[in-house]
Amino acid sequence: MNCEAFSDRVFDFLRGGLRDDRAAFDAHRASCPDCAARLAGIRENERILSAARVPTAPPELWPRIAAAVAQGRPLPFRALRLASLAAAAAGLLLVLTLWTSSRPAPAPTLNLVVQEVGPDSQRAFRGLVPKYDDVDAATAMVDTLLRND
Amino acid sequence: MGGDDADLVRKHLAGDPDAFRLLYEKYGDKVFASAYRIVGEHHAAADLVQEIFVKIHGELRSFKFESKFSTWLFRVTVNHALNRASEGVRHARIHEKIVRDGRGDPGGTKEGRPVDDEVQRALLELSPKLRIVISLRYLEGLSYEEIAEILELSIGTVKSRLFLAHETLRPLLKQVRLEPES
Repeated sequence: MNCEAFSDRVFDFLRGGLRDDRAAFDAHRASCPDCAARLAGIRENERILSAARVPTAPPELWPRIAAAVAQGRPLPFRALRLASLAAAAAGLLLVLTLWTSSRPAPAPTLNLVVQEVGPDSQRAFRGLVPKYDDVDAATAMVDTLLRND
Repeated sequence: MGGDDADLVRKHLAGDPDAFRLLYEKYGDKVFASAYRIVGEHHAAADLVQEIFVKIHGELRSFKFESKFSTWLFRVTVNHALNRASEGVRHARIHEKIVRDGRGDPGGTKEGRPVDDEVQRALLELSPKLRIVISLRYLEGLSYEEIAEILELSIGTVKSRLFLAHETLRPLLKQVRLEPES
């Protein structure tokens, strides 16, 4: 057996599926330090790979998929995070406006405040506005998102 | 789990509102794990999984019941991930910098261990095609035959890619030290 044949058989060997070629495989391993090192390396890689923790899907993913399926399009995580930031900035501006104003003024609309955040944020934010048609509801939603972020 | 996969697909096609959720509950973590290993960042992986499940929701009517649902799902996952490969590289570089800076994945688990980051960083050195083979083999625990069916390759090609992936990983994983679980 040469090195190429050894590499062809190595995964069969690791799976315990090498029968007819086992003697030739073992003979090559004993005579070829490079192939012996490759086999040892694969074993060590497998040990490390199997020890690494497998990441799991975040719990909020299914509700998002269900909503996207219902709407017929995905709502990207990044856009939603951008929307969270836009909404948080909007809320902050709203509080500052109300706090610094000494005379009654018309309540700023959510759309007007978001315009100060930037066009990308506006786009991301508009997707949420139809669900939350007043500032209090939007603020409560943002609080929830930030807590879950 | 509410019946086997084919039953769940049939129930979904018949209008059962819970069937698709049950399919997600069964495979969501697996698809997420593969997506994460390929794109290297939690939020990007979540986006990818969401896109994949929305896509299969729309395409389940074309499922022919000729192969296992899981095979079909992983094929969709792999093709979708490969289509995003260039974007994945960008995410991977961001991720790598974050890991190198010791800040961890911003969307990752709080209890991430060094070995997890080191393995992920090593995997990101592989080309997407090699990364997918490693992911299917060692994360999903699929057989060479199943991987070959998903990727529509010969078993010999699967083994060749695995061998090449291991050769690339060998020096990268050499410094990884496994600590006993506390």
